[in-house]
Amino acid sequence: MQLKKYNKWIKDPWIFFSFFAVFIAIALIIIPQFRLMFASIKEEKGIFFLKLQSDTGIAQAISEGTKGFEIEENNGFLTIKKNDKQVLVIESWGEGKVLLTVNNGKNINFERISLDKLRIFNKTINFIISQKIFSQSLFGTPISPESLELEIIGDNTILLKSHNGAYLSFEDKRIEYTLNNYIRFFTKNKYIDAMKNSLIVTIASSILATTLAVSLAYYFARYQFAGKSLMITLITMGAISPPFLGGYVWRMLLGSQGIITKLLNLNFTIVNISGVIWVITWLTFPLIFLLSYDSFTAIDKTLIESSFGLGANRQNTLFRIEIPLAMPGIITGIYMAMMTAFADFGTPYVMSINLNVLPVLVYKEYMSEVGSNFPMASTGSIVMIMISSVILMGQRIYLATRAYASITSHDVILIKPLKHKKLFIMTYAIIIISIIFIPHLTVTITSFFKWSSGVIKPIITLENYSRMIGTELHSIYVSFLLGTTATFLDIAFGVGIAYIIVRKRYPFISNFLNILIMIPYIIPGTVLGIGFILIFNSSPLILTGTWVILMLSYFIRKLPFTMKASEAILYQIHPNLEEAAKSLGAKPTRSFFDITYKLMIGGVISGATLSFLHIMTEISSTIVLYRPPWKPMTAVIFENTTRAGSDFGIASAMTVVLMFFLYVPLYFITKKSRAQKKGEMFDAY
Amino acid sequence: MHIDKIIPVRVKIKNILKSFGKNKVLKGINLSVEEGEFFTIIGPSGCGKTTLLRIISGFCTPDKGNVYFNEKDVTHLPPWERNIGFVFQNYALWPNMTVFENIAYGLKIRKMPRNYIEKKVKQVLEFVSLSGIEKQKPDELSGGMQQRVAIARAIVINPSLLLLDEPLSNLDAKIRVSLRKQIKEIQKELSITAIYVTHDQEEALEVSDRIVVMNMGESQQIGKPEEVYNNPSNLFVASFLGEGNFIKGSINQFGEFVANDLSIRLKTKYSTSMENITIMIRPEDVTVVGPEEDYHIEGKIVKRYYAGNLKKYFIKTIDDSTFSFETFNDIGSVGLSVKLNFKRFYLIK
Repeated sequence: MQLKKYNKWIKDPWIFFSFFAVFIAIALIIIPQFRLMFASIKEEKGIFFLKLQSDTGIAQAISEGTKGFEIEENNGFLTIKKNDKQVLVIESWGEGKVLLTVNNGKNINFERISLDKLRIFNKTINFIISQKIFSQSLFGTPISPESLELEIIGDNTILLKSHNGAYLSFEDKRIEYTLNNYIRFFTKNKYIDAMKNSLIVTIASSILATTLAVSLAYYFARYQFAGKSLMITLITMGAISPPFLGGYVWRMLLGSQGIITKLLNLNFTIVNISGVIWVITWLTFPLIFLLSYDSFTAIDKTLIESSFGLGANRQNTLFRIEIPLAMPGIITGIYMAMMTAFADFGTPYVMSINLNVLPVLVYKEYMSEVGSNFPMASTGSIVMIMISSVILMGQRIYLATRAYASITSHDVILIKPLKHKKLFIMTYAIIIISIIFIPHLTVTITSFFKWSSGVIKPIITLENYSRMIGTELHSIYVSFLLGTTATFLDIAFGVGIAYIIVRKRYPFISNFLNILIMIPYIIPGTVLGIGFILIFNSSPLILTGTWVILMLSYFIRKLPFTMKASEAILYQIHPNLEEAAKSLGAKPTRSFFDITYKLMIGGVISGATLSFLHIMTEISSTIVLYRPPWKPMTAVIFENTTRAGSDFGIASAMTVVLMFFLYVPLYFITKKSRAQKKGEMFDAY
Repeated sequence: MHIDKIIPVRVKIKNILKSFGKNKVLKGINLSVEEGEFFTIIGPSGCGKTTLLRIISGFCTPDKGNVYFNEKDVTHLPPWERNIGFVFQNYALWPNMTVFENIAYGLKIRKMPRNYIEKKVKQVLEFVSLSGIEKQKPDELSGGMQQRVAIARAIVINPSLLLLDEPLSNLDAKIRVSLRKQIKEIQKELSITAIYVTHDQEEALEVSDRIVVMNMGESQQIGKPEEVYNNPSNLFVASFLGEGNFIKGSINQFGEFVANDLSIRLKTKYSTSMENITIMIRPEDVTVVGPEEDYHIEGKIVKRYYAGNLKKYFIKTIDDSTFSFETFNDIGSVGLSVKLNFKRFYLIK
C-alpha cells in the first residue's frame, strides 16, 4: 500500500534524468570552482635558505627565494618567524656547525633521506633540511663533501653539522590554508594593474558602445528608411564575430608596423589600452544594439501618444517615457556587453602580449614558461568570478526593482523621417556598420595576398589557402567534431533541464538546476578552462589533452543558450497536449518524444545554432585546454597571429573559412526567425 | 456508424483530500458514478471540480482518499494505464499532426494494425459527423470541429470512461448548444460512463443523468438535475443552479413566513417557529393573479427592466418597502397594481 504511493515516482523517468543532470552540473560547474578556490588558499608552509661562509662557516640568511618565513638577524643570531611568531633561532658555531633552537621543541625526531637531506619533525615543526655544495674553482681539486649530520642535544636544541661553504635550505612542505595569495593579489603592482586595466576596458568600452548602440537602436526603432532590415541583419552578423578577429586586424592595420601606419608613414600605434577599448567597443556594440532595438520596438504606440497628448515634446517623451520603458532591455544588453568585455581574452592578448588584463594575467600565470604559478592563476580566477558576479548582481537588482508589466505591442510607431534626418541616420548607421566589418573585409582581402615574414606583399595569390589546407585542414574537422557533439549535448540537456524546470517543478531539484545552469554565464572561459584542468588532470577521469575536455567545456559554457531557448518555447506549449497523449495510453517518455519534443525542436534548433556558432568562435577556454592534435580552427588562427614569426596568411585564410561556417547557418536562422515572427503577427490578428 | 462495444466502469470516489500548498482544494469528496451514467460536476471556478477530474484521470494524485474503477483501486495508477478518454477545454489537438494522425495516435500506441486504424478513424469521424477531413490540420478547422475531433480521438480507443473538462467553454453560444446535444447523443449511443465538468448550469441541467454541485472543495448536493434544481439543499446550490428570487426572514409559530423588511403572506408546511430562513422562488413561478384569488404579495410596479427572456420588476408594497424579482412571465407595465402568487417556493435553512 505504501509502495503504491511511490509508484508515480518510480514510473517517472524524468526524476532519473534530473538526478543525472544535477550530477553532471555539480561535476562540471561546482567542483571545478571549488577546486580553484582551494588552490587559491592552499599553500605550502614555506622555505628559507642559509649560506655557510666557506672561510668561517658562519650562517647567513639569503632573502631571495624565501617564502612563508621572515628572517631577522641580530648579534649573530638568526630568528626565523612565521606570521610574526618565532619558529626557530639559529646560532652559528662556525665551521659548518649551527645550533637550532626550536620553539616548543618537545619530542623532536629526525630521519635521514639521503646523505645531504634530513628531516626534523615534531608536533609543530616539519623541516626538510638539505645542503647543496658548489665547487669553488673550476680547476680545483674535487671536493669530497661531508654529509649532513644532526645531533639532538637538548630538549629543544639541535646541532646541525654540514659541509663548510654549503647552501642550506629549510623547507616546510606541509599544507596550510591562508589568504596570502589574495593579499599578494591586492598588493602587488602586476595584479593591481591588471585589475585596473580590466575595469577600465570593461567600463570604458561599455559606455562607448552603449552611447552608440542605444542612440542608433532608437533611430532604427522609430524611423522607416530603405535598407533598414539589411542593416539589422548585418549587425546581427557582427554579434557573432570571432572575438579575436578585431584585435588582430586592427593591429595589422594600425599597429606600429601596421599596413596603414606604414602606408601613411604615421607615428602611431593602436597597440595600447585605448586600442583594446576601441576594438571591444565594436565587439559588444551589436549585443546592446539588438537588445535595445527589441525593447524600443516593444513599447506600445499608445504610451508614447498619450505622452504627446499630455503636451510633452519628442525629447521629453524620449527621456521620460521611452528610455525608462526600454531600460530593462538596455540594461540586459549592457550587462552582456560588460561580461563579454571583462572576460575577453582574445582581443588584448592578440593585440599585445604586454597588455595586462585579468584574463590574460590568469592565462599567463597558468602558462608561464618560467614555471606556472597555479595558486596565483586560481586566485586571479576567483577574483574574476567575483567581479562578474557583482556585474550580474547589478543587473539582477536593477531588473528586480523595476518590474514592468511585459510590454508587447502590435502597434509600433514608425515615422518617415525628413530628408536631412534620413541622411543623418543612414550615414550614422553606415559608418558604424563599416567599422564593425572592417576586420571581416580586411581579413578577406589580405587572405588573397602574399605574406612573407609577417609583412604583406602586393601579390595576389591563393597560396595562403593551399598552405592552410596543406597544414591545418585537420582543425576544420576538429572544430566541427567539437561543435556538433557539444551542441548535441546542449540540446539533450537544454531541452531536458528546461522540461524539468518548467513542467516537472520538482521540489528543490528544479530550482537548484535553474540556478546551477546559469553559473557558466559568470565564469570567464579562461577560468573555466583552468578549473577543468584541475579536475580532469588526475584520476579517476584523466581527460586533459583529449578532445573530450574541450567538448565538455564548450557544452557547459554554451548550455544556457539552448536551455533558455527551450524554456521559452516550452512556455508556449500547453501541458494539455502531452496529457492528451498520456490519457490515450502513452507513457511519459513516449508522450514527451511524440508530442512536446516534436513541437519544441524547431525553436530549440535556432537556439542550438547560436550555441554552435559561439562554440566555433570560442577561444578563451580553448587556449587553456587544447593540445595537438586536437586543435580547433580558432586555435590555429590564434597561434598564427600571436606567435613570433607566425604566418598571417594562414590565419587570414583560416578566418575566412571560419566566417563562412558562421554566416551561412546564421543566415538561415535569421531568415527562419523572421518567418516565425511574421507567422506570430498573423496569429495575433 | 458502428463503434465497437464499450465496457463502461463504475467510478467510486472515497474521501478525497487534496491541497496545493496551503490551499485546500478538495476537502473530502465522496461520490459514485454508475455504469453508463452521464455525471456532471458543476461549480464556480476554483471550487475544485477540475482537480477532482484530474484525480479521476490520474494526472493528479490525491493527498488522501481513493478512487475505484469498479472494484479496483486506481488511486495511484498513472493515466496511461487507466484506459480513459479525456476531452480538454482547449481541445489539445496536436498542431503538428493531421486530423487522421491525431485520432490514430491512441490506436498506434495500442499497436493496432494499419488497416484497422484506417477503418476505425474513418468510422469515428463519421460518428462525430466529420467525414472526409482526415488530411486537414487542426488549425484549419473551426473550434466546434476541433472539439469534435478531440472527442473522436478520445473515444476511438474504446475507453471505459469518458472525462470532459469544460469542453464547450471556448466555443460561442450557438455551437455550445448544438454540440452539447451531440455529446449527450454520443454518450448514449456508446453507453459509456461520462464525467463532465462545467460551470454552466444550463449545460449541466440539460445533459446530465445526475449532477454534483461543488463549492470551496466540498460537495454541496448530489442528485438528478430536477431534484437539485427544485430542492436545493442550501442557499449556494439554489443560487448557483438557475436564477432565483430570495427573500430573507423567519417563520412564526403559526407556520407563516415573515420577511425581514417586506410585507408578505406566505403559509408554509411548518408548524414551529424558525429563525434565519430564506425562501427562494424560481423566476418561472412568479405569476399575476386576479383580484379574487390567493396572493402572496401585493404592490405597485415602479420599475421594469428587460434582460432577454428574463424580466426584472421592482414592486412597491403597501408598507413602502420594495420587492425586486426576476421572472419569465409578463407582469404588467409601470404604475399597475398587481397581486403576485408564487406557484412554488422553497425554504432554505
